[in-house]
Amino acid sequence: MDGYSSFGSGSGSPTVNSETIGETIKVLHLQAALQQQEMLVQTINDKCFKMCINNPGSSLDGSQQKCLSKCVDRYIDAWNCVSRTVTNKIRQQAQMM
Amino acid sequence: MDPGMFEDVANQLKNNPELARTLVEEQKKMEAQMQLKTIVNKLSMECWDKCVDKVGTSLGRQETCLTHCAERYLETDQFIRQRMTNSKK
Repeated sequence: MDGYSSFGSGSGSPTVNSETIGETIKVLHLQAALQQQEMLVQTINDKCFKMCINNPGSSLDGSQQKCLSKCVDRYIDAWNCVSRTVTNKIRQQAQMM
Repeated sequence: MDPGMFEDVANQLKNNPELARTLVEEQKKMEAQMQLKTIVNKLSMECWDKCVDKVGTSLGRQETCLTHCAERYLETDQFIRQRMTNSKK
């Protein structure tokens, strides 16, 4: 057994080379992205529930679903807008230093 | 898992400084990305509450409010940090 496949379950130590390190980094990136996604879903759920579900009934009605769809899309727009702003600001500050 | 595994990995990295450097650089990059995303998440939550009271087919004018809100939040952070360091003197 060699390389990445021996991580965690194999006998003996894993081989460290640029390939196995590359694989490990890929997995770490994926994990970070999933974690990030989960956090965003929870936030959007929180914000959009507050905005769209004022009177919880026996089911999500049509207008509530419409509001939720729009809210999810706008939250992502807002996130991107804030992300651009923060990135620009950091870039400006880096240039001043 | 073999308890000596980490030691062995560490030794292998010691013998391969270039690989170790790649790993450290990658870790720093990821940390910076996470930090940035944490800030963006926080600001998005704050500024959404301030700027978006209802949702339409696009953000429209709310986008200006969001941009201003994010900028002012960052400036507030700087302002307060400066005040705290000055008052410590």
